[in-house]
Amino acid sequence: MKRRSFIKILSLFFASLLISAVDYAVYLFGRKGREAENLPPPLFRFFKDKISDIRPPGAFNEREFIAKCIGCSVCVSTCKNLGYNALSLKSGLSDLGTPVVDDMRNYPCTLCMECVKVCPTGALNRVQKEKVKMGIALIDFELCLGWNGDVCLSCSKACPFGASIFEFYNSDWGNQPFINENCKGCGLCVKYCPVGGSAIRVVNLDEYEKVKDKYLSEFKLLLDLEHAHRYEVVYSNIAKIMERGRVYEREFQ
Amino acid sequence: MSVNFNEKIFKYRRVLLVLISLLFLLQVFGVSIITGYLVGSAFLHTLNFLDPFSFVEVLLASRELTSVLLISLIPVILIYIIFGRSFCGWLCPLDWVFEMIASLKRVKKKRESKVIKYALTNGGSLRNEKYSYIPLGVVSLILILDYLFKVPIFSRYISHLTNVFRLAVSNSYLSFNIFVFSFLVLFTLFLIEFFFPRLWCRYICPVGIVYGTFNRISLIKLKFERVDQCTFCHLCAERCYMKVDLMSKIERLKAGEDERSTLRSISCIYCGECVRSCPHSIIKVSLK
Repeated sequence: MKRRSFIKILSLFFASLLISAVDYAVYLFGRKGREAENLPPPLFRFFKDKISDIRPPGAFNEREFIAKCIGCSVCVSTCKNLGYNALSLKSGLSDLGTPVVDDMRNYPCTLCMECVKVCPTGALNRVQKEKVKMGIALIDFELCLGWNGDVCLSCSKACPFGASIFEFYNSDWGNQPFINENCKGCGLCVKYCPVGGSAIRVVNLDEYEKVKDKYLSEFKLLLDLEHAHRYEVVYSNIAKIMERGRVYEREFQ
Repeated sequence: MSVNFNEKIFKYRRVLLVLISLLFLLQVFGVSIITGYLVGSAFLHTLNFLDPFSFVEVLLASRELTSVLLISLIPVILIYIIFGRSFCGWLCPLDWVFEMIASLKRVKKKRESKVIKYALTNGGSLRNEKYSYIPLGVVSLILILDYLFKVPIFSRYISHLTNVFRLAVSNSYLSFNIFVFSFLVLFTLFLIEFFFPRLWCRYICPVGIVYGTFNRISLIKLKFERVDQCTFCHLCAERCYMKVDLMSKIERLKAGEDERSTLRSISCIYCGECVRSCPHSIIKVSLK
């Protein structure tokens, strides 16, 4: 090979680097203008910091998973080629190149259990989908329609396990859904929630242990609240829900 | 029954490399015949392959031996018990890139004759297989780090195979950070290669060293025939970029000090350079 052709190849390399840099800059620049990004995610009052990642199904223990994953992206590629797009590679330097389910709003995990079959190192345990534990979905009572005077069953209809996971506390203030600890954390309910930006958030089990008491106490408080107080709570919450809906609709248009 | 490889077959090793790479690249377009990288992959969603060094890394990092690990290792072991370290010469994409970088230097031919002349006038063979303890040190260092940090460090961060395939295969869903990281790792590799030719392959790359241990038991090996015709032109030893100790073996054979006509060197990658260079076709790559 001649020196000239090598220089050509090298310049191609740098050109591709430059192009991707420009791409990324455009992406960052474009994101600034988007209003919905500035809205706090559901359950923001519990998780002020960035919460840890949701791993693909079959990864039970985070430490064990990190020790076994070699970042070969077989699972990610399989997920892409089957058309689910749920997995992507993590970009942080600590766990660089390991798979995460990062965009549940658009691409939730469908628990097809194909990624666990192809993992060559056994970082993803080969289990049935009943035994999966990716995390737990938490409903934000301030944003949920069912907790604020409406009857909405979208999340429970989307859930692949239905009645074994959802509990309903019907009252005058709506059907009031609650997700119990059998939840697998697949995130299908996150996608099908009609509230703008979703009222549900899937969190890691470690994160859940931290906020468990706070979350359950809020849940019990809401159930036992007197009529007059509950009216005030719902009245202020509905404004929030409507605002989120408006922002997301404007963006969609 | 032993089969000697025709020297023409070594011309096609780049063809095999391109074909295998194409199979891997097909997954970008949604055809998953082979998914994943050369470090770990899945064939038709059923048969898993795992690189032996990654196997050792995962074993030490997770501190347990599971059946899944073993099952994905077995097909790879079966392949390389036959073909030894030919992975490096035939399938490793970096081997081709390094060859291109080497051909940049242009001084190759001049140096070749000079080195051979030097070797002939001084009566010794070319410097070969020095510092063979360095690779072992590198491998054990990486494995100790794996054990301490409980992370397969080489396979996920440093490995040339992972980084090449990350850029080539999974570029459609790569975030910018990983792109820059992989690019920088590869670029440093190319810089090292430019200033110290084959330093990576001979002394650092643990993947190749693990495959090299298969050379001791593999069916494939170097075989010497009609040694008495050798004129000590040193062409084979000079062409060999892994610096296998060919000349001293031939000297010993000719003097009758060594009975076995086969050579099982850890660093031989069966690229066939020596076979093609030998004017008397003394050296053969044979498969028993």
